[in-house]
Amino acid sequence: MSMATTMQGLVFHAARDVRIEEVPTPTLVEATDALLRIDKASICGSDLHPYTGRMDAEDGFTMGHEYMGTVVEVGASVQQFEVGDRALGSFFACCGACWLCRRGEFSKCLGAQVFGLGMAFGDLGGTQTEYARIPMADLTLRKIPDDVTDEQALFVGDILTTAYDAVRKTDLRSGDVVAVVGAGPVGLFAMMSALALGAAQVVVIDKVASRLALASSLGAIAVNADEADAQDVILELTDWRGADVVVDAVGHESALKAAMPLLRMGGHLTIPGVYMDDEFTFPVGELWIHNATIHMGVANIQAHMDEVLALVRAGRIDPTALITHRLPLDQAAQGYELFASREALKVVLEPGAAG
Amino acid sequence: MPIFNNADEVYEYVGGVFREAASHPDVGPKLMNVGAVLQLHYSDPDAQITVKMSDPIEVTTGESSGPADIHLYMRADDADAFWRGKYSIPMGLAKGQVRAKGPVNKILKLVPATKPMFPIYEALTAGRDDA
Repeated sequence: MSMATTMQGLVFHAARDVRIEEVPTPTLVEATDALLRIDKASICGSDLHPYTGRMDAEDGFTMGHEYMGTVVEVGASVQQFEVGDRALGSFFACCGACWLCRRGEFSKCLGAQVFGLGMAFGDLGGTQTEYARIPMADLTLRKIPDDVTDEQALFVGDILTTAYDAVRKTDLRSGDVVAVVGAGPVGLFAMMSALALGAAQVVVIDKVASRLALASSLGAIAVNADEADAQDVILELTDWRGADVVVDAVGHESALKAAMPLLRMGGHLTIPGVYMDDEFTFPVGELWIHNATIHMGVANIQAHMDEVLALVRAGRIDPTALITHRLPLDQAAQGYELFASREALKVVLEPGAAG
Repeated sequence: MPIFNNADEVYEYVGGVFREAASHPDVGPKLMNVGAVLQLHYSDPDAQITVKMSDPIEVTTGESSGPADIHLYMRADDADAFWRGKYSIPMGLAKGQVRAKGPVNKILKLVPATKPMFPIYEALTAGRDDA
């Protein structure tokens, strides 16, 4: 098929300076690539790292890595996809062949490239665009079943599976009590994942009333940290043991220090929140005496997307509950402002929509 | 046949890009911000460049006995391709063509600072490419 040589895309220039511009339409580079027309994209918390200046990034790359769309072209070696297939995709592409990929530890691949985060993460184009080149398409993409809507599929390749992965890699057992520090998107999705994986109760701790109200409506016990002591709530729930699993869904030293006292002896602390700090003081003695297990790092999306998609399809998790804004792609910069100021929870960008 | 005939050529061009970047008004401060000592170990030809990325930036060529925070091991040809924007270090790491030792956080800080250095390398090697 013949496509225009340029397209609209959101380009990063500097902190708080992102603009919709005409950029080259990507083309297939390797035989394992697919070209995806982006039908829906969204703004992820990690997009805010360059946007807010927390992460150094160079000028001039297209942004975004949470997406779904329609396959418009496939390389000669792509076997799982055909033109016209609806697909969602992981926020990163891995090599699929190295020692770590062969162990199924895809997120640890040294050759992993994250869409739309610049040179430091592999210099792969973003998906807040009209089209995206998807490397290793058979591994990076998943077909979307006909009975799953675009918006239900949109977060499976990133934030939803990041949250699910954070809970799944703990020792969570049916009937356990889970505490989630932070009711942003990853915290709320971690809460939904914990319930889907068998937690009896999930306590969500935050200070933003609207987010706590949403958590409560989705089945959590919501605790406003300005009004109540989360540790007291959890001790009461657990016969003074503490939470079996604690999720730090913020990525800040203060959140981590708030999370630790909630943990029971032998509990699991899991950290999907992204830490950009080189180092800070850590209460290692307290964690040691608690026999705590800590999990952290980039989520193994490629390994868990199928499980999450199945839960979404079965109605066990409704990711659309977190969508607060839908904007045409050409209003993406406004979407970033809304998200950065916490006015929005999840912003969906629609490349095809009129602005 | 290797791109560089000997270590002196590696020092002139690859070392040169760091020396030029050190005094560049945009790039210099970004390199200083990394706050680490980078040691580049090249093969074909064997060469070693050490860059102290703090104020003031210092570029040392040849064997250095001082400690470094980040060590990168790669072929000099791949270094040339990288500075021309044609070689992916992550893919090199996945293929085992590039070996890295040191804190990943500091490497991630360094990488975005290299993009504005590509035109510096292009200018440095222009005469050589024409020859």
